[in-house]
Amino acid sequence: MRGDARSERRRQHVNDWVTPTSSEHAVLLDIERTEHEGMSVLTVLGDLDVASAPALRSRLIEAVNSTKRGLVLDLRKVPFIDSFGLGALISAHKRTAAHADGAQPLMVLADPVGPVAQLLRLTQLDTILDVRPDFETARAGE
Amino acid sequence: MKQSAANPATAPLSEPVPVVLPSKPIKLEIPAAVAYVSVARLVVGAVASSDSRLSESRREDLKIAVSEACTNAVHAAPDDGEPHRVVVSLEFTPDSFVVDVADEGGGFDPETANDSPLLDDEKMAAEGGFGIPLMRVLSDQTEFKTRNTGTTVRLVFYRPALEVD
Repeated sequence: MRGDARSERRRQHVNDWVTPTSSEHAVLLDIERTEHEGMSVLTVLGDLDVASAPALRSRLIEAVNSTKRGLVLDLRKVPFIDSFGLGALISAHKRTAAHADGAQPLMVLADPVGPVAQLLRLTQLDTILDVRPDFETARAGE
Repeated sequence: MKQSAANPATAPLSEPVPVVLPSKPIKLEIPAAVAYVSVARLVVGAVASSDSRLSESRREDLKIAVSEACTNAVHAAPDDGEPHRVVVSLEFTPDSFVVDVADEGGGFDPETANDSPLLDDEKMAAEGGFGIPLMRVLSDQTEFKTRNTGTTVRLVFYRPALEVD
């Protein structure tokens, strides 16, 4: 069973290879989805920019549509974000807002670090999106 | 073995080491495709890191601004099936680090985005449009020059004098 879980994870990672239409090169953005007591956790590894944001956008939409309790976007290993990365976050936020019944925050951004935290503050998106400084608290849905 | 002062390996560590910044312009040419924006960002960040007068947080600002400029330049390239390039030029002046990003697009009117705030209803609706406002906020100067061969964005980052304790 462990092997199955590993191969499932492997398949997910392979799906996250993004092939830009205008280039023969692929960009790797690692996005792993795990479930924790009904919360879906998307852990992102890599830069979120114009090349990689479309992959995050589609994975976020998929997660928002299928999560039971809510969604935690783990940003601890995202060293860089630009306007297209922010656009993907706004896109998912708008979808969660449309689904929200007021009982639970449906998307939480967990522990953005360095430049990502700064850009969320600078654009004031931290006043619109639910940004939590601590991953464990965010995952517990507190 | 007797130590020799002429041997750099054994020279006293206290001697100041002069760091010579590249004083001539550096040009980086990337294909006009989104996959290469990260290449430009990483190279510009690496060149800037040779300058101790640009702090780590300013280098992060620089990387975001360059990324936005290169993204716009890639999107400006004509969709005519021909290969297009984005040229990124870097230059240290005594007071500034200057980055020019030149595209092969038809040009646009940057005045239309002049007074756009960082966040407004329009950007929330479009899920984007942060590029030019971010460049303006993150750099010390942002200039646009449009010719019929394309647009060049100039991003200027001041190099503050080092504070001596």
